[in-house]
Order: sequence, then structure tokens, then C-alpha cells
Amino acid sequence: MADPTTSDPSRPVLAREPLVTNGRSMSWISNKICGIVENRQPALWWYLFIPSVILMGVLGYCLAYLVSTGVGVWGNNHPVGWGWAITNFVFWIGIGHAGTLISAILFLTRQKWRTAVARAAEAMTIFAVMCAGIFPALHVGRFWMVWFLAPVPNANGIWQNFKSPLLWDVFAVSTYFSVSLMFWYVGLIPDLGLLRDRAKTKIRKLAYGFFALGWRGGNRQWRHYEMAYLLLAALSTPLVLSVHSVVSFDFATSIVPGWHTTIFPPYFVAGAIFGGFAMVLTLMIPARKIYGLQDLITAKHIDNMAKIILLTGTIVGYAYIMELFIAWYGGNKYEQAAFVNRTQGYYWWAYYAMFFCNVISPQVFWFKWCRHNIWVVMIVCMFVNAGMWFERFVIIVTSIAQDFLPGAWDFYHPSRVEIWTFVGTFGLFMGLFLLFLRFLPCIAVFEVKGVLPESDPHYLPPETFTHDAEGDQLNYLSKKKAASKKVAKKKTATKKKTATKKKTATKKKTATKKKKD
Amino acid sequence: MFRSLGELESSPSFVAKLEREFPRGAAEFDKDGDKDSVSRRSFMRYMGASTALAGIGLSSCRRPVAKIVPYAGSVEWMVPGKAVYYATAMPRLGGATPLIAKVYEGRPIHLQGNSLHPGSAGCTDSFAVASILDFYDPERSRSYKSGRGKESKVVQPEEFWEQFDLKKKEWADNKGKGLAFLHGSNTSPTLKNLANQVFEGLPESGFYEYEAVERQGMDKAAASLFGKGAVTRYRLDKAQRILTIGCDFLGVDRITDGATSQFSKGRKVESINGNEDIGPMNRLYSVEHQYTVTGGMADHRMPMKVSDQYPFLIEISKEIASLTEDNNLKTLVSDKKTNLSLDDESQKWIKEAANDLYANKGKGVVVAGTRHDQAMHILCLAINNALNNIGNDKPLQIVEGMPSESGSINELAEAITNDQITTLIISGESDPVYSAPAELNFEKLLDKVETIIHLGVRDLCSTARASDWHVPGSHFLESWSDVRSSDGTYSIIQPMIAPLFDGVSDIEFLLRLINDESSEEVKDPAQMAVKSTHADVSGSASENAWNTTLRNGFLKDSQFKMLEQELDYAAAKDGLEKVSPSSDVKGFEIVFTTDSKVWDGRHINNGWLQEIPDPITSLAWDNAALVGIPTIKKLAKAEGLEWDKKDLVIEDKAHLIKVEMEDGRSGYFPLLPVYGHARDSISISIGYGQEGAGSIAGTPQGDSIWSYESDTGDTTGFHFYPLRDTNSSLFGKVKSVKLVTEEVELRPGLKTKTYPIAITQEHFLMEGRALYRDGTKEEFDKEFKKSEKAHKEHPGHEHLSSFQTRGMDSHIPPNQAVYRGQDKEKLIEDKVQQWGMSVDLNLCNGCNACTIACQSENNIPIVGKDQVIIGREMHWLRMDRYFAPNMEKDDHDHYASVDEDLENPQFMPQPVSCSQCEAAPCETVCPVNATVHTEEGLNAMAYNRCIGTRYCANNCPLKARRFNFFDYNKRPLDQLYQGPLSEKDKTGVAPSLKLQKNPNVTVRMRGVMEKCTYCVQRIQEAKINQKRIARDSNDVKVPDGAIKVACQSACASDAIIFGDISDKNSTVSKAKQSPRNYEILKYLGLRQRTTYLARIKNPNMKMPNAKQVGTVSKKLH
Repeated sequence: MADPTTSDPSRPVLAREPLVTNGRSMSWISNKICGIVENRQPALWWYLFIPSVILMGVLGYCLAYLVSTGVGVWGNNHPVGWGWAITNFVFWIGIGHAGTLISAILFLTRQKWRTAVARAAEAMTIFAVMCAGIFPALHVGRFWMVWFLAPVPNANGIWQNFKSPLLWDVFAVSTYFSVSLMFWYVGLIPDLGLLRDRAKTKIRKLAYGFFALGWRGGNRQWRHYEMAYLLLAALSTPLVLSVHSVVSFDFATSIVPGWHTTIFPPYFVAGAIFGGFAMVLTLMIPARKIYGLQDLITAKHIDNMAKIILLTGTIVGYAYIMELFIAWYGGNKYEQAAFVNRTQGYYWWAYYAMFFCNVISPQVFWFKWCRHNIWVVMIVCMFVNAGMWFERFVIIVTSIAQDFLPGAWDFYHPSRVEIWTFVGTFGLFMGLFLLFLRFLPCIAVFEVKGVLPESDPHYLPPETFTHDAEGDQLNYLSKKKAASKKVAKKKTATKKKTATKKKTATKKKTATKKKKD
Repeated sequence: MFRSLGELESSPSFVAKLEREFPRGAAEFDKDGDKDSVSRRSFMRYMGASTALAGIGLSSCRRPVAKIVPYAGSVEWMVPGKAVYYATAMPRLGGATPLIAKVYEGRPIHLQGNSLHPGSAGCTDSFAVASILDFYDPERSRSYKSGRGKESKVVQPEEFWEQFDLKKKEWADNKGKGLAFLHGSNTSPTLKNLANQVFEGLPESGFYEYEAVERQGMDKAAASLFGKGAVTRYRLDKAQRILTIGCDFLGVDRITDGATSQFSKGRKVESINGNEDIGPMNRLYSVEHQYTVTGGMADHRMPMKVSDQYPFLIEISKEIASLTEDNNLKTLVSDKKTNLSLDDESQKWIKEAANDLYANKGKGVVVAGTRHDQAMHILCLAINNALNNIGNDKPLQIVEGMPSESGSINELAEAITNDQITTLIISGESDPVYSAPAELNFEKLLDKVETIIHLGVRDLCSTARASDWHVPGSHFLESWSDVRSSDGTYSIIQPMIAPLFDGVSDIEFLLRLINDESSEEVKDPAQMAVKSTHADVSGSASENAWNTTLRNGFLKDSQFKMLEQELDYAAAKDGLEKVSPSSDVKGFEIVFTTDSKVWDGRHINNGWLQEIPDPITSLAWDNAALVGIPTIKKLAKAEGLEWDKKDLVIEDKAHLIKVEMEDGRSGYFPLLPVYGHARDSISISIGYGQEGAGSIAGTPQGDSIWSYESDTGDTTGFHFYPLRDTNSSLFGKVKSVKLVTEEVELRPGLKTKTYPIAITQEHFLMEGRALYRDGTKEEFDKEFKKSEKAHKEHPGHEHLSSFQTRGMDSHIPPNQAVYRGQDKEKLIEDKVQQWGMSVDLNLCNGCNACTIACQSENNIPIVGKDQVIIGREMHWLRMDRYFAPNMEKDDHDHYASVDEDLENPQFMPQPVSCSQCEAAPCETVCPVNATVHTEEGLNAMAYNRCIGTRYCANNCPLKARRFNFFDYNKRPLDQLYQGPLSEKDKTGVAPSLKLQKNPNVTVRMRGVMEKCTYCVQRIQEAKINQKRIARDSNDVKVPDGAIKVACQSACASDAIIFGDISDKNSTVSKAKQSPRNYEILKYLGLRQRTTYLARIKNPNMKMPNAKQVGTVSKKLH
């Protein structure tokens, strides 16, 4: 079929929705994003940060209690060796998928809309993986012996069991974490340079300067940077798919009915992307509102992510139904019983909560209105967050609570320590994310600038556009406003001048005083 | 020493000179007497102190130094780490359990049956195996005490014996007037001799016997029918038809020692190793009010109220009388009218059972429960006599036993009321103050007695607390005694260790009473006394004979003499008239059953027994009112509730009922729904609810902050003795039973509607999985012939029997071997033996003795009620039990349940432990290689390597792996959640409990996975031994039968077979060739080393519902 845009020259080319709305200029972007880091935080930041720190303390306390007393402080029992701990691990590691997916896969596929959300999503990934790592590391009976998992040659002469999916898991997660961290950091370097250049205090200058690794923005540096970023993106891309596949092997390679399923790797990856995007939206929608980033993270972004949620949610739904189908079609009594127990057994409510949250609720995203209504998006994302947690709970707990021998069946209930540990990881996650917002540019400044129409070498500014000195488009502002702005600017300038004068004066004074002493 | 003559003389001039040269206090540098200044010495002092303090701080970071001190001179027979085995016996009600004690460095650590013993054939039960923990009970009495109740204080032994000697003189003067002994039942000839001596010396004294669980009815009936001294002796191995009326002879009704092994001998369907003489399979009919392990083994079982059992027996007698045309029996029962309303099915049941018994005249036996009254037993004996079942080489024999001549507790109570008793000496393991019939009000009665002396192992029991003097008793493992088992075989009880807490045995106590102080000191008077009895019994005083008996554990051919007396029908008639059995309980009855865990309450502080689940209800750490489902529904209806089966127990919380007896005594008890229980009957096991019973029994369970709300005070279980009186010793009439629907004050300060109970297995259905397989005798015979034929015609081929193709096993695709065309035998040809196990479900009755033996051998900790509720019991070998309701095919060829309320389901116990899969799912998933396969096919655990990911346990299809969620071996039960702040963390568990640990098995720390490894320490020991024997011959293969794993040696019914499966002639290989052999989850391709042999039932096809019997798994595919 012929392209409608070319077949009929009289039809205008459908313009792409701009990725940065309101025609914001480069300097506006710099100011806006660096301003978050440079200015005082809104009160809300503190209202979120303080409870987060308290929860971090709770987490620390719970973990100290766990390690000092024994895994018994949790609710695990004999059929259910893994309870909330591994549920939470898979939950967090799943969340940690969206970030690298956005920054690596979408980078390779030239999805330019990724630029506005990539940085924060990646940060989220790293923090989520940190939260995730806590659980497998500390759920073991003897935490102090956890180094047995590392392939360190030791006096015992015993190596790890390379057949164990749990070991692959350790390698996969740690690789994912280190590559993600590197990828994130490399992506940060140009912006760290920017922050360093804009820094007004010595400490900031030193700190950002240290981490900017001497970034000057020269042509060669950009070339190297681009190549490094591309390579890392290529390296991360398979990792995005492998980590959750490997996590799913923990279950898929076992013989437990309900775990032993070949659909798990793709299903887990889809689920992870699904949950990850929901978490990105959960974080970005409020952040965009608080910091006034609506022009950078636009309805278009939310729309795109909602579509991905719709797609992956439907894949997940397919997997759920396929699991049920295979259980019936496979004719394996134990498998059938596992799914009967899931859907009608003791934990049936978890199954239906999962099904509703993950499969039914995202279906509203078929409608554009829903994708564009922030509240609807937020609510669905919340459902998805909860639903993905339930999914892991359903998979892990219902399967082992009732497996082969009815004589060994027992049910599992989390203890308070377990619940608070999970809540505590939210504190850690939120706290780290808030610190990230406070100290690092939450949107990749240089990348967003790159998607501005003006960045196109062939860009011809419309004649009607004129910029003032600060880069604001004049035609968007009334003259009066511009005038008042000028006045304001003058005022600040004089203020600054007087401030610096005073400072130098006091400095001189102290200097002379010192001399006298 | 002196430096000069001047110094020696201390002449003033020298002193002055000395003062100048070495001024006093120079070392102190006391600057002008300035007190505040720091002197050199004080400086050193402070420095030293602070360094020392710092040292303390630092040194606490280091592990405490523990030294192993070798013996200066080696002890005879003792090699560290090598066990020495001694024969001994445990005194039991009406007999004894002959035992072999495994002793390491002077510490007995494990008990197993003495297989040489003619009467018991190595038969043990959970009580016998667990009694070793009683011995190490941290709360065992360890000091003499004086003063009643709260005034009780610890005194020096001399203080007591001084008083005792004074009393002794007093008694000698008045010939023992006012002196009474209240002792427990025992069969010790020495003790009897001594008691006789005491009685001769003090003819005015009185002897009374008390056991909360007794068998008086049984013994009295025999004595009244066959003359004084006559005792019944059952030989169930000779019985082909057994009818029990309320007798749980495989469980808690001790009709004879070794009943289980006798029964199991008659139960075998095939000779597994080929050299066993297998007779026709026996058939068991069981009439019982609640499900017992005996009922579980029965081919035909009928639930029936205890109060209906006597009339039922009369109906049977009538039937048998008419069949045998025995006039004596006829006259005995013809005038007896029963108001039993029997439906057609029950009538058919009676008729066909009687027919079967009659058809097997002389080869059957009718048994009544030991605690049933005399009339019941008289009638049983009469029936057996009519059926010609009594006599030499018959299932029932009358022998001249050792009947008790002491009075009953009721007589004692009467004597006390009449002020005839001034001093009461209470001994034995029963706790009369706690358990005596309620109407006696025994505790109050004791106020009338001037002096009460209690001799016992538990100073926490109510009797000890109510006594003026408490003397610590001794355990049978630390004292000299002797005993006759129920067939009369004489055994010596020898001490394994010097008394742990300086206890005094009954024999020693009586010897103190008999012997004059003037008589010369004997080194070990108790041993001398036993030795002289032995000389009497054996007729030889030689040291050689004594040593032989000690070594064997019994005296050969010392059985009781057979009596050839005829049954005295006149006495029988008399007996039946005199004893009016209370058979008119029309409403609810309450049955006081013996507890399968604490017996009558004596094992209350035994953690192993407490934590072992009841074989039927799976209830641990508690007792409860057991009620059948139809009865519960009735109770609920009375309260206007509609109760579903799901509501009966809600997440480990039991509802409560209020039981009120005829005379107004009442109590609240937790309600536990059970299957197969007679209607309108409540059974409650006795022995629980003792206050202050010890740290294990009375541990306040858990901490409600962290775990589930189950703080039930400091007592476990419920005290049922207040409802029980002399007339209702076994059962009583209940005025009303009410379901509690509102909060009540269950215990002081505990208001609740429910009570937390710990049930280890809540799910009782097999869910259509052929995990437990069964069949009928007929089916088995067919299959057996078929497989024999097939093996002959096509040797080397796999032949699947009908037992092997049930459930998912029928869908296994053919095995495509990688090594096709190669000789498999050659590929695995090597010298290494391959261990395997076979569990014969046909013989296993689910008694749990194996679990306790495993616990004892392998240092398995107990975890407490709270942890059991959460589901963390540590048993490596657990007893799964399933119930199968009767199913019938409907019109669409589908099976449907016809027994919705499970009024008489079939019971299926199945011991499950790690089955050492060759393709073990646990091994592949362990990330650190902590569980690996050995060359011998064991799935070994490297505890030091385990980090506790629990992945292996998740992937274990049997869920046989156990995780140490806490430091169970280090922390007391109430400190599990306290973490590093726990008060007793440093001391850990009681030191006495540490003595019990097997030194050849690691005591696992927290965070480590553990499981059965076929007692690998025993395998290694046998291998080392074999290497020693083999020397240069290179024949290092351990012969078949040389290794007995702990569960196997405890199994009275011989259901567990262990050995080398690579040896085609080993017993275990033979067992695995049986058509009954199956793998529990063969579908998974695990190649399990432990396999099961299907249970075979022997139904009488004429009986009602006979079609259902033994066909549970047949319907599954």
C-alpha cells in the first residue's frame, strides 16, 4: 500500500507530536532541570524524605533482628521455604527492569521519547535492584556464610554448584546491577559536567567535578561518550531480557507444580517490563507535577508508557490463561491441583487480586482518554504495582504450600517482621530516589536538548520565533511579562553584586584580622 | 633469709639503718602523705585494672577455650566415640519392655528393643524409646525437699534420713501401725520380695496400688475365672481372627508386651527374605468408639460408643453361643437383655464376624480393652473358651502370673478417712494427687495424714508438692532392679550411669527401711538384692549365670507357668451378676482415653513425646475433646448454627465446648473434630493440664508480639481428671455438652472463644493421588502369582503389577535408556554398596515410635507448640496419615463419597522421610553444593557448607527436608524470638539434655537444612567394623542385616527394611521385587531409594461394606 503522505502530495505531512512542549528552549531546559538540584527542595520533598529515612531505620532494625535471631522471625515454615522474602525480591527485581529497557533498548531502537524518562527510570532500576538484593542475601539461614556463593577459591576446595539456578541468579543480578550502574553513570557524565559548571559553591564544584571525570564537552569527548554509551546500551540490552529469565529459572527449572513451566522466562520478562513501567509512571507523574516538568515529560510520554503497560499486561494475561490451559491440557494431576488450589484454594483471593490488577485494570488503556487522564493512569499503575506483587506471591507461596503430598501441606502467613522489612524497603527505595532527585539531574539535560527541533542541523527556525537573551520565546510571553522579567533580572543582578561586594569585604576583614593575630 | 646478723636480730640500730636505706613506703612514693596523689603502686593498680577490664572486653570476643581432657588411665570397654551396648528393661504396666541401651562414654543416648527377647522380639514403642529423654529431664527431681506446698524447701539428704530413722524405730515398735504405702504397678520380683519382707516386719502396715491407667478389670476377671494368680497371656501371632472390643492393643492398651510384633507376624502376606514362615494372613475386626491405630489396621471396623460395647459383646456372645452350641456360654448370656438398637447392617456385622470366629475355632481371639470393666473381660474369656481359643499353643493362654495383692486407692482413701493412716509413703510414677478419682478429693484427704513421704522422679508433680518430704527417685536407667515381662520372662534392669541427681530407687528405699543400721555396709545393696532374686529365679547363684542374664537382658526359659485350669462358669455367672456395667448411657458419654503422648501424665515434660503428633488426630502439645462430625453438627444445631466441615478448625484455632457431668462437675475444653468417631461420644485423653509441670511442659509458648496469639498460660493441655471418678474410670455419663459461642474464661485471665492447637497435618485426604496404595488379599495373591510367572517366563524384564500402575504411574512413558544395548549390570559393577529402604505399609500402623527413635539417634530438636502451629516441626521422619471416605460408583461410573461426615473412613498412615532419590531435585538446586550424592547412593548433607537458602526444601517433592529456623539446640523454647538479648542465651538448653546428644551426629545450628541420611553414622560404623573383620580378604561388603537404622530398630512391626539394593539377595532387594513395591512419586522420575510396599487388607466378603475395604487406591488413576 502506498504511503498516504507520499501518494497524495497535497496532503500535509502529519507532524509528530513535539517531545518538548511549549517550545521550550535549551537554556530553559538547563535551568529547569539543574534548578531542581540547585534550589531548595519543596516542603513535600521533606515530608516524603523523613518518613523514608524512618522506614530505612525500620528496615535496618528488622534485618539486624533477622540476622541475629534466625529466619524464624519470619513466617516461613516447612512446605513454604520461600515466602514474602523471595516474593519481594522478584517484585523489586521486576521493577528494576523498566529503567534499563528504556535507556538501552529504546536507545538502540531510536525511540526519542525515552530521553525525558530514561534517567529517572534508570535510577529507579538501580535502587529497585538494591532493594531486591537485600532479600536473597538476607533470607538465607546463615548470612555470614553468604560468601560461599561467590566463586572464591578457598581452603575447602569446594566450588559452587553451577547447576543451580540460584547461582545463575546471583550472577545475573549482580551483573545486571553493575552494568546498569555503569550505564547510568556514564549517561550522567555530561550532565555532571553541566552541574559542575553551574555550581556556585566549592563543595558542589568539587563533588560534581570529581564525578564528571573532567568532562569538557569537546568533540572527541562526545565521540567517545557516544560510542561508550552505545556499547553499554548494547551490553545492557540482553541483560534486560536475561535477568528476569534467570530469575524465572529459579522456578521454571524446579519440579514444583506451578513453578515448573516453560512459559516462565518470557512471561517473567513481560511481567517485569509491565511492573517496571507502572513504577516509572508511579514515580514520574508526581515528580513531574512537583517540579513542573510537564513540558518535558508530556502527555505523549505517559501515553506511550501506558501503551506499553497495556501490551505487556495483555501478554501477562495471556500467560496466566496459558498456564491454566496447559495445566488442564497437560493432564498432570499435580499441575491441575496446583491451579485448582490457586484459583479456588486457600489463597484464591491473591489469585483474583492478581488477575484483576494485572490483566483487567490495564485494559482501560485501550481508550485514549484513560491514557491521558493522569488520575486514571496513576490508579491503574497502583493496581499494577500491587498486582505484580500478588503475582509473585501467588506463584511462590501457593505452589509450595500445597504440592505433591497432601500430608506435608501447610499454609504460610507473614510475620510482622517480614511485613515491616518489606515496608522498610519502600523507605529505602523512596529515600534513595528522593536523594537522587535532590542531587542529580533527574532528566538527561543534554539528551532532551538533542530532541529539540533546534538540535536538528537542518532546523530552520520559523521566522515568527524570536528568543530573548534567556532563551524564552518572546511570542509566547506578553511584553509586559517580559518587561517585568527584565526588571526582576536587574534586581537580582544588583543583589548579587552587593552580595559579592559584602563577601569580599568580610573576607578581607577576616584576612587582616588573621594577620594581626 | 637474712642479709646480716643485725637483720636477724632486728637490732634497733640495724632497723634505723634499714629505714634510711629502704624507707618504708618508698615504693609508694607517698609525697608528704598526700592522699590524693597517685602513687606508683596505685597507678599500677589502676593501669592493671583497666587493662584487665579491657582484656575482659576483648576476651569476650573470642571463643571460649574448651579443652578435651583425655583419660589418665583408660576406662575399661570405653573407646571415645564408640558406643557400648547394654541390655536392660523398662518397667511397664503389666510387664516390661526389654531394651538395649546405646552408651557413649558412660552416657546412655539411645534405646532400642532387645530382639533376642522371646516375649517382645525387639518390640518398642514411642514411650520406651522416648524414656531416655525422661532420664535427662532438666526438671527431674534433684534434691530432697521438706514441707507441703509453698512451704516446701530444699533440705540435705541427711536431714530426711535422720527423721526417717526415727520413724523407723517408731514403726518397729508399733509394728507399722498407721504406715501405708501407695505404690505404682510393677512386676519386679525383687521389689515384691522386699515388700513382703517389710510386711512381715511391719504386719500392721498397708500396701495400696494406684495407676491412673490400670488393667484391673482384665486381671481380676482372669483371677476370678481361673483361680488366684491366673493371668491372661495373649499370643496374637497365633490368632488368625481377632475381634477387639475397644482394645487398642497396637496403641495404648497394653494387653501384652510385644503385641505389635505378634500381630504383625500374623499380618504378613509374603515371606520377603524367603526364610520366614508365613501363615495365612490374619483378619482383624475392631469395634471402637474412636479411631485408633488398631482400628486403622482392622479389616472391618465399626465405631461404637464405649457404653454400647458391653451390650454389643453380649449380642456377639449370643451369636457365638448358638453357633458353638456351648451351653455354658448360653446360660451365661441368654437371660441378658440389651437395649441396643442395631440396624440391619450392624446385625449382619455381628453375625458374619461371629461366623468367621466360629469357622476359625481355636485360631481366633476376642479381646476387650484393658481398661474395660471386669464383666466385659469375663464375657470375653467365656467366648474364647467356647471357641476353644484358650490353651497351650492357642492365641490365649492362662498363666500363673504375679497379680498384685495391694489394696486400691479407694481402700486407702477409706482408711485415711477413718484416721487409720498417719504416715503415707507414695512412690511410683503415677501422680495420685493429680489423677486420683475425683470423688475421693485426694488432695484434701491427705491433710488428714500426718506425714507424707513422696519418692519420685518428678518433684514438680502435684503429689510431690502435697507431701511433707520429697525424696528424689531414680530412673530405670540409673538403678538396679528387675522385672518380669508379661509372658513372665525375667529381666534385670541394670544402671547405665551413676545416678545423675543422686536419686533413690524404690528398691533402695525399701532396703533402707528393712536394713538395720547395725547391719554391715554393703557396697551396692540394691544390686545384691537383685542378684539374690536372680539366684532364686534362675536357681543358680553363679557369677556366670548372672553375667549371662545381664548380657542377654533376660533369663532364658523363665516364662510364667501355664495353667491348665478349667474356666469356672459359676464364678463367671457370679461376676456378671455382681458387676453391673453401666450400659444405659443414652445421651452423651465421655471417654477418658490414655494419651498416646503423655500416657497418664507422667511424660508431660518429655519434649519428644509432647511434640510427636497423635497418630490419628495429629495433635501435638495438647489434648482435646475429640468429637465426630455428625455429633458436632448436632451440637451446632442446638446452638442454632449451621456448621460446615470447613468451619470446624479455623487456622489452628479450636472451638470450645462445655462439658457438664451428672454431678455438676464441668469444664471448658477445646473441640477437635475427628473422623470415624462413634456418635454421641466425646473422647478426651488424660494426663494434660498439669500446673507447673516443668519448663518444657509449661513453657509460655512464644511471644505474642512476633508470632501468633497462642499464649495459653504455663500449662499445656487440659485437666480432665476432675471429671473422672471411680465409676467413670473409662467413661462416664455426661449431663450436657454445649458448644461455646461466646467468650468464656478458659483459664484465669484468659478470656477467649477459641483455643490455639498445634496440628501437624491438617489435610487428611489424599486428593485422588495414589500416594498410599492398598489392595485385598485376593488381589495380592493374583498379582503375586502373575509376577512369579512373568519372572519365570521373561526374566530380566520389567513386570508391572496392578499396584505399580496406579495414579499417575499409569501414565509414565516408556523409559528410553541412554545406554541401550549395554549390560546395565556391568556398568554399575563396583564394590560400593548401594543403600535402600523399603517401608511395608501393610505392617506399619502409624504408632510414631520410628519418629522418636530418629529424634533420639539424630539429635533432632523439639521446637515447641508455637513453632508447630506455624509448621516448623523438625521430625526427619514424619507420619503422614490419610483418611479415605467410602466411595461408591454412581450411574456415570464416577466415584462419589457415601460417607460425607467420615463416620467410618479407612485410615492410612504413611511414614515419610528423605527417600534418597537417585535423581534428587534438591541436589541440583543447592547453589553451594551443600547437599550432594555419595557413591553409595545417599543424598548427603554437608551441614557446614549449608547457607540455608531453603531452595532444596522447596524443590523436595516429599517435603522431607527440615530447616533450623531458630537455634533450637541452643535456646530454650521461650527464648527463641529473643535473639541475642535472650536471657539464657549463654546457658542454652539444660546441661542434662546435652548429655543425651549422639556424639556421632552433628548438632545443627540455626539456618541449616537437615534431613534423614539413612543414619549414615550407623552405616559408617558398620563399614569400619566390616573392614576390621575383612582384614586382607578384601570382603568389605557389610553383610545384610548388619546395619539397622534407628527407625528400623524401633519398629515393632518390622515394617522398615534397610540394606544393600545392589545385592540381589538382600532382604531389601527382595522386598523391592514384591509386586506390592511402588515408588511414591514415580511419575517424577526421581528413582527413590525408599520405596513402599502396598497395604493388603483381608476383608471378609460377607461383611457389610466389604467391597470398600482395601480398594482406596484402586479407584485412582
